[in-house]
Amino acid sequence: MDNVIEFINVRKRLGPRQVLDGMDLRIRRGETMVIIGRSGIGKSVTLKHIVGLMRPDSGEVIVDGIDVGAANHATLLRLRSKMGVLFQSGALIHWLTVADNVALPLRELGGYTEKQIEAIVLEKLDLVDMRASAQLTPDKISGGMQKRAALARAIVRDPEIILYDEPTAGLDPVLANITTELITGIQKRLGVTSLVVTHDMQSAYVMADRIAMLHAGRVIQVGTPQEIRHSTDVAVRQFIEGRTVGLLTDDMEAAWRK
Amino acid sequence: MIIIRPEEQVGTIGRRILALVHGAGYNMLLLFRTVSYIGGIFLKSREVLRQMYITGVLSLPLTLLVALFTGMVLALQTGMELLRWGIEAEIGTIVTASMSREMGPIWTGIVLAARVGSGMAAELGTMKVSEEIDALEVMSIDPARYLVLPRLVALVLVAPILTVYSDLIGVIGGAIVGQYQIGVSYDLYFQKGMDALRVVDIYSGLVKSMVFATTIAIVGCGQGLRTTGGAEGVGNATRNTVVISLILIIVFNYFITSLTRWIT
Repeated sequence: MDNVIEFINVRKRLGPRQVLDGMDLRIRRGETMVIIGRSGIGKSVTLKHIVGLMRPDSGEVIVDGIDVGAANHATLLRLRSKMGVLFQSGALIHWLTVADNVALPLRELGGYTEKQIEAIVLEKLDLVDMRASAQLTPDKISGGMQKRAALARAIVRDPEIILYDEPTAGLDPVLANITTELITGIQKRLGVTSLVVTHDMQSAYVMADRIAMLHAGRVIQVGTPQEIRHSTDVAVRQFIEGRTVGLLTDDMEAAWRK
Repeated sequence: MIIIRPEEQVGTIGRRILALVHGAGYNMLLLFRTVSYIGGIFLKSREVLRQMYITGVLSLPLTLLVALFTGMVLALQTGMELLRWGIEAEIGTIVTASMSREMGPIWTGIVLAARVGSGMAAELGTMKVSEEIDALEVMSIDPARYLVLPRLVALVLVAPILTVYSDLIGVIGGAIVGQYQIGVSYDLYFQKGMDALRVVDIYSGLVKSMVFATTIAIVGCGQGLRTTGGAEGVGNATRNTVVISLILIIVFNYFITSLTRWIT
């Protein structure tokens, strides 16, 4: 099967911590892969490797056939134009309105008339149900609305790959479900490859075609939501049941102590 | 008791020097990268105007206040001394020359470093911490073009204007002190002042202010873009910006003055 994103034996050290320690993962074209794992285990670091904001110490990160770690600036720019990223905090530019934020990639990279930009922006805002707030600045809207606006910005260039960093973190359960539905809806409509990083198991089960559990710098299990739900791996079991005592907590503490 | 071994001290010094060299190199590259985008500045005219308002118009009152009292204290201090020799009329010469050559540009630079440079570091640092800078990079938008260029251009345009105001107000401040505390009439003061004023001094002052503006904008933006680790990181970036900018302003000032003397 056609793999869009491949991690091959990736290692990355940040300060004293070995964050990724021989990570292997393959993400197929058109699927929604959800990476789960405890906070601080390197899920966001994984995303940063895919967009080239970080480069691996060793190993390879291959996106659409290109080795991101070895790519030059121009290649990286071309690769990034195929990707949309939803950051954890939304990361909207704080002095621009919602509409201007969504329009930003189109305006800055050129090639569109103002009329075209307006049409595209309204179309994307409709997708996330944010047309009514188009003229507000980020500080005037709620956290959930910021995430939706950021999602509209992430898909404004019709990316082939969308990366989500903790899309439901900090949202109340109802909003979290709405966001989950939004992501699955966009996935169905656009037919993109999605990679979601989360520790929200409920939304993971709903969104995922496959789930990968990250622990101690490696992927310890990959499987369908059904397989993960019935996993016999002790670490996976501890995570999905949220138990406080077990392998996960011991290893985490050991890693931080090192 | 903590015992610091000599090799650890050497290591610490080495790391400090490396950080210093790395920072200087980063700032030079940032400057070159930003200037390479200068062709697209007209597309950014709205943002440049917004920045000129923030950096220029809003800095004007503080700049004027500082300049006024600088001119006043210059006149008072030198006037008291010159009175003893009966040549107090020369305060017009001294204040005008000092303000246009040194005090005007330097104090404007200091005000801008404290008010604008720190602001740039805080704003870009907060953007870095809240992933806004990462978001720009992922959208293939170079922060040097989108954020640094308008700030740099705005400050380089605004600093000479502020400096001229600063020179003028400083000289006026000196005149007031001359009239009421030293006993030198306005007429005599300004006549001496005009005689002392040389075009080359005004130009060198303006060149200085542009160099200071470039320094402040690049140091402030560079510190902001390299911010790591939350609110504390933003605080560090802000403080470092003011400290580094002030040092560079004082040092560059000496060399530009030397260069001016050498040319004339």
